[in-house]
Amino acid sequence: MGNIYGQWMCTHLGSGGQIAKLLRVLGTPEAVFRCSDKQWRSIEGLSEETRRVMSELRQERILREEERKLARVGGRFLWWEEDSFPKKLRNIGDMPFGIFVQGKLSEENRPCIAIVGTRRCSNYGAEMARVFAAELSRAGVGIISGLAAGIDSIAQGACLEAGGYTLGVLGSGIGVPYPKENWELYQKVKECGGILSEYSPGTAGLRHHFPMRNRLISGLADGILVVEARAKSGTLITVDRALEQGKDVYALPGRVTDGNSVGCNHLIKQGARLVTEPKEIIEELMYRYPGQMYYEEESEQLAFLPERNSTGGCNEKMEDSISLVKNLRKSKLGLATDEKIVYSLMRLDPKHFDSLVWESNLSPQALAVALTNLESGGWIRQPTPNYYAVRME
Amino acid sequence: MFCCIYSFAVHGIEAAKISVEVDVGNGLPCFDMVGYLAGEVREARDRVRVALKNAGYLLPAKRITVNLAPADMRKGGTAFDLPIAMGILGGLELLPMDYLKDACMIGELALDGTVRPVPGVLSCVNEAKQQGFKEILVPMENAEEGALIDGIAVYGVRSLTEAVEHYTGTDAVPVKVMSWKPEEQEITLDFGDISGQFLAKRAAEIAVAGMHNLLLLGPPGAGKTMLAGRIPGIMPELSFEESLELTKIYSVAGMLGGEGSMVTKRPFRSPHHTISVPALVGGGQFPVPGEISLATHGVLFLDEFPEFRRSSIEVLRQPLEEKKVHIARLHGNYVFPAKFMLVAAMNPCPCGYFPDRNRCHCSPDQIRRYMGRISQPILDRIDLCVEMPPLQVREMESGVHGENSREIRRRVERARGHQRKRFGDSGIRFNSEIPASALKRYCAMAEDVREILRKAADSQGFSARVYHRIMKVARTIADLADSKEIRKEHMQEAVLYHALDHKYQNM
Repeated sequence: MGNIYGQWMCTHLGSGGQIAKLLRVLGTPEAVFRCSDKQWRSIEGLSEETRRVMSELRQERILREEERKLARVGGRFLWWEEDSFPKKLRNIGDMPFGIFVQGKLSEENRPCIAIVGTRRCSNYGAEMARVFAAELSRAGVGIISGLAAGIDSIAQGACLEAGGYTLGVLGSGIGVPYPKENWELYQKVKECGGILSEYSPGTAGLRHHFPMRNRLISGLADGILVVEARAKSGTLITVDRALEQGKDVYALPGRVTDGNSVGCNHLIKQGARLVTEPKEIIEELMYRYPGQMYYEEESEQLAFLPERNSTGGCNEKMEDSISLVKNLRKSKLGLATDEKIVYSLMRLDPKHFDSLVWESNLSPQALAVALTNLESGGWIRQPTPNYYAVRME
Repeated sequence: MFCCIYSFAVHGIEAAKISVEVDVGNGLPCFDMVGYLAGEVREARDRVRVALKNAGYLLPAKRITVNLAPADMRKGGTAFDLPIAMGILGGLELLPMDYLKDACMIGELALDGTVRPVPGVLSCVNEAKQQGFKEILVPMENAEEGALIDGIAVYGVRSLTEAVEHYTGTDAVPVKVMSWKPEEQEITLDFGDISGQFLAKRAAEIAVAGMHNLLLLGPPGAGKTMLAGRIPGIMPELSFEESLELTKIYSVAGMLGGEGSMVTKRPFRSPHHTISVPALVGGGQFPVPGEISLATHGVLFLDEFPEFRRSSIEVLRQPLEEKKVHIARLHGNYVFPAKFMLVAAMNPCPCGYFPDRNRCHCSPDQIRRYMGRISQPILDRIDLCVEMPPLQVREMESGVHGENSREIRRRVERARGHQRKRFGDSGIRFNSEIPASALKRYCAMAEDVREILRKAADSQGFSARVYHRIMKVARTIADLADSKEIRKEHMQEAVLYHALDHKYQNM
């Protein structure tokens, strides 16, 4: 049923500060809704907008409308005093008075990690986001992010594929997927995980909402992993919030010359934890949540791919190079000779079909056959059409 | 006296028989023309009168009435000048009437009596033959063109006087046409000129073999235009029927070379993206073929595809499907053939450099909107789509070139042969034309081959539309390999040339 008066307040009185002022004097949301004009006019420090809302919008029909809107998107409203309101959110300084939810919230005793990063990630960032999200999910960790393009949605998508739990925190109201292209992902997350927003259903994703919602992302998590971030990234705002909240910050290092890793490398310099494997995060969480996670020791070290030396030769034997990639639970015996040749040329940086023709000396037809087989076998993927990269997850 | 001479009016790329009826009688001298005539036909009055005078005929003061029947069909053009003049001579009994029985002719008259060339002579002569005429008079400059039609004697006349002499007894010899020999076409633009671009070259080969439409995506300078220009070079030689059809189209468009010879080279039409819709598909008051018809049996290359007006692209939908274009006018409906292969080229994003992260700064939304300028129904008719990578200087200088056009053309010709055998008289000419209902029949494949397609559909996430297109492409690849069945390696290659589908852009 939910607290309809609380919902009304959160929908129309926006700023937490105004809500706090009213509650301090009048006590409960219902009282705020039903009090007489004389009672509220005497309160000091109310904004113009608040005054307008209090004088014009305290009507039964508006309450019913809010109820209907919420029902239409299949969501529910949680007032901060309710039991099911996430405890973690009560601990942050500027906690929201109420939240709108679709799907289910994480259990209190489940560890959660926020995975964030730039919207325009490289294939390296994308693959790393997938690997970390999937591995953490399999260990029982929930993944929290903002459903934004790039790292956010890739991590959340990978989590769902691995069968884990993910929560999407929106800068718009529930029912309004932002960005639009992520509509399908939004639906899947709603069904298998949860969607959360402090904005009422139907609210558009305005610019200033996003820094605000980032505090919720970090607030709900036990730690935050930054996969790729540019120099002036919005991701860094999320990190600031996390630090204010006393959360752990993990970052993946990147090449010094890569613009996408400038933010991450900077964070590491400032004291963020440099991680190169999901295992490191999982082990830390296991201390805090004993008995809640499933983890097998035998996971292999994350891949490093052989670099060609300057004369064009390969430092490793071709056979060895294939064995270095992590997800080789699959048998490499099944690969044909051509496929092994092509696979050894694969990197995280996508290569066009033509480059592979030059490098492998195979005919275009033979290369095509090898690529199609490798792709359906899960060894490689096409981040963009006709460009191929190794697949790690 | 009443005299009737036959002539022909071009309608689309065909011609219709017109009766030029002339009556000369007593009454107030005048010269009237009727029969739903356009402006330039009406002007024939003055041209004919002066031409007759300069040819030495003095018109007595009689009442002359000319009717062009059927009177409810709108007539345009200047080809009726000659028959009108001859009809008047017949009506005035200056020419024996029985000589003019079953006479047919076309030609414009100059004021001095010279006969000028007109467009569409090939179609007119063809129609004359169909109508059972034994001989026809045409302007001398169009004579060779007209003589291409067997079964009717074509006489070229240079002047009104010569035309008269033809009927008054002097023997005129019909024009002989050079026998049509498919000259060994020298390939000036060769695939061997292109260094690298293996995927795109192979895609072009497949496209030509099955007459699939092709979309080339790539940054500026990748070589899209260079490749497109070389595509006609790997198409098989034109057959006589194809050449004839093309010649008709070019004749009607007034684009045949001065010698009036047949069109023997595959056309490559590359209109600029500011082209108007009528110029692209055909139109005008008396519709004239547009670029899509001029590209029949050849390539229509639309470079900078998204820059074309949306209306221009959308109007291609029906011709792409039906291989012809219908143009309706108040006075009649016209049908032009449009059996072209579409090659479209575009950048993958507004700046042109996607997916190069270092150079492309377009947002995903910008890219989506840019690609969205081409509607799904148009994409549905493009079976092959390839990304061309940016030119690598290292590769360009390596000197390795791959096959030349002649070798590729040989494979293509064999593949076309397989298709002819397969489709016979069914009305389908190429693999690209196989309708969804006939896919099962023509693209049968073993279960393990189908499994490859299914797996690719899952991992790349494409729709049923794309699924069907890939089946057709696989059929063409098998034909190029001279294989009766579609084998695994054919399907494994086919899935590479992903056909585009907006919903499943995995960007």
